[in-house]
Amino acid sequence: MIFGLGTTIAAIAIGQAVVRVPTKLDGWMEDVDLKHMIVEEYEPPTEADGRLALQASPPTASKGYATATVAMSRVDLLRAEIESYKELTEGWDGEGSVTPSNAAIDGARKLIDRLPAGITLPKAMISSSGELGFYWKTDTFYADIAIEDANIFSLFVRSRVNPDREFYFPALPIDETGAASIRDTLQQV
Amino acid sequence: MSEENPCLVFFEQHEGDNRKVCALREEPDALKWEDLTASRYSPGTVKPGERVLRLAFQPLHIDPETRSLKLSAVSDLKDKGFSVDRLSYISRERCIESGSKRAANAVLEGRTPRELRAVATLGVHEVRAILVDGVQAVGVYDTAKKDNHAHADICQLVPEGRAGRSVRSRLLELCDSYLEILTN
Repeated sequence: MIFGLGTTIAAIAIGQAVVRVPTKLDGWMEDVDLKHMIVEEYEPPTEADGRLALQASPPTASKGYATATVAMSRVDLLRAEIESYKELTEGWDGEGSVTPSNAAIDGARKLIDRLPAGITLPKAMISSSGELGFYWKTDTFYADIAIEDANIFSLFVRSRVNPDREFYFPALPIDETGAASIRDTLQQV
Repeated sequence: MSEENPCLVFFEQHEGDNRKVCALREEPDALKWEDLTASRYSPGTVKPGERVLRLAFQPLHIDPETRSLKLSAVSDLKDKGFSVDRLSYISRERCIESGSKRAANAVLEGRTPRELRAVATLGVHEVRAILVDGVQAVGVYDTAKKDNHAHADICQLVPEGRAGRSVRSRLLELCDSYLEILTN
């Protein structure tokens, strides 16, 4: 029983590590040597656990091993994609297409650092009108974030189980309050 | 002719306007204009039984990891118009060939490098059946061009905010369900 609980906790820890953005402490990931954490019985989280289904991959190549480097590379890739938008020039997507504002880039950067733990990392997106944001497409919900300026974002969430169940927040702060709104909404959809 | 057709007048006035759909939403009869031609080059208004083809380019529209559409693939719906080609007037192969050429020219024209990676074939009746709060949320207009008479635009008719985000998510879902990744 104790061993079972231990492996469950380890599985949760690794699951969250794979998708979690370090928010509270810089370098927390380096403090935990997940590379050598062994999971004997990885069970993907279910809705019955009261948690969101995570996109985290269960250990595959070597049974029971998961690495923190996967988590860092996913977040870093997200950051890198946002940074790459700074390189765009006017007309990047044809005549009339515009680049994102510096405020939107700053807002997106800040939001990445405040994304709530325990949820799948979103994908970054940019429109030809320069709108910057993030989105999720999972089996159970669709959600998108539009960065309104350096401090404000809007959030739209729609259930894919009940497509008429929608949530919309036109102006959320890019801080812990906004992050909590993301987490709470995605958990109830 | 144009004076009798407010739809044609509108689309000619807004030719090249990347925000024409925002202006279209201000027109009270925008939905009725689906029954009027929008271009002097058009072979006729877009009928419910037609199929239209959307091109999807990587990396702009396709997520290479999931091989599905990014949200940015449908963002033109709200302002510029979601460009499609009517398969009653151009072949799928010709569309793909044209899209590949456009992609190849992107760098020369100072645009972001891209590759034609997928297509989605949609039934016009399905597109028009996208409802938000029980109201038809998009219009499909025969915005033929001089060099492409098969061109059409799908335009968001519901306001921005929740309704706009909702209709884009629904169009994205529809496109995803018919997405075909090209092999070459």
